[in-house]
Amino acid sequence: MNERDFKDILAEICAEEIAELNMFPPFKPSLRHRLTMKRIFALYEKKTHITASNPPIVLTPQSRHLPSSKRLIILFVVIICAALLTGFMLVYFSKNFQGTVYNDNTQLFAVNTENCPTTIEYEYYLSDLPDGFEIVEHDSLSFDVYTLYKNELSGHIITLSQCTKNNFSPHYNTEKHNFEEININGHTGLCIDFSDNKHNSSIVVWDNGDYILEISGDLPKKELLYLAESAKVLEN
Amino acid sequence: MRFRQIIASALTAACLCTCFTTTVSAKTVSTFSIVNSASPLYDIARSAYSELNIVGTKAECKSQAFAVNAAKITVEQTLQKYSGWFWIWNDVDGASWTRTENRSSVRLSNTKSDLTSGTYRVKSVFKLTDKNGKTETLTIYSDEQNVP
Repeated sequence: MNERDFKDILAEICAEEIAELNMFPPFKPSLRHRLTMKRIFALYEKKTHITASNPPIVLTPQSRHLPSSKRLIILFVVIICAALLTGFMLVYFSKNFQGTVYNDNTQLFAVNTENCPTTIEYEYYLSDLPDGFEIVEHDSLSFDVYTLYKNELSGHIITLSQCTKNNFSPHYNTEKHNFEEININGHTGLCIDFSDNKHNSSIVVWDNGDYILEISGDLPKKELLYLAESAKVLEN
Repeated sequence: MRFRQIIASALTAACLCTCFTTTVSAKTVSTFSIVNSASPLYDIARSAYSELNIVGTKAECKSQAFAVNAAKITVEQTLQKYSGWFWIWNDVDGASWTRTENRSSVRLSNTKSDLTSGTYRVKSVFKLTDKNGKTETLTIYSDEQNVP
């Protein structure tokens, strides 16, 4: 073998080895590695007292650009985590009501409050009470009227509340119960039925245009809906 | 640099999420909801009101609750005034009332006159006891109202 052939063989081997090296992916140091190296270099600079005659060894990091898909994924994860951390609300909407849904209750508010009375100008009463029920309490404020009916034999109660729309903001138990849209004499309302095998209990609330009326009682939903439809204006 | 970008994105997302809402319709509403640390517990109670209405310098306070299978409900109603400092509310003198009823519904309404200017709210604490002896306590605050 002459020198020229030997050099060709060496060059070929070098080229093959360099090609193998180029196949390796570029080194991507982790955050921990970078922080560790940063700390080591800071310590080194302190110890060696870098001067003009003894310049520091500067390693320029590889410029790394995250692909756009990874950036989108990171942004999406950050938004989800931020949302869970800060907490967000479910907002409830119905035709005449709006509400904020919490863990175990919903706070309702009336919509369509323009041109509505801000005080009680006329009162409602239940004209077709079930047998045995009598008024036991009646209370009023400028924005609200409350009537409690009770059956002394059974101990069951029915309450009728009338409230101006601007002052209506009750909390209803919606942990295991849903609102159901109902219609009371042409007015849209909501009903929650809490009845189970042992007790009857439900609430009906509706917007009659001027006020928000609510009937709650120890009665099944159908009877309470019938009572709601029997509500009439009390004539003085 | 990338870390700063992530932090900037997180802060932006947090700002956006403070007003992040999802609408739910009446027909499709489900009972789940996401965290709200201000919500009271509702096990015995079915509905609860805490309302305040200011007319001139007079406050009208209303606390009302309806429950199922309740043996006793006690309501403590307090009119509070904002101190102006951080989130400190002070109880108004002579504006605390209590009522107890041995049934499934309770209502307490009161008025307080000659209020000084400021921001007020009603604090209603309901203590409900069912017929099995189980108790729960709800604390609800009304909306804030101003006396000019």
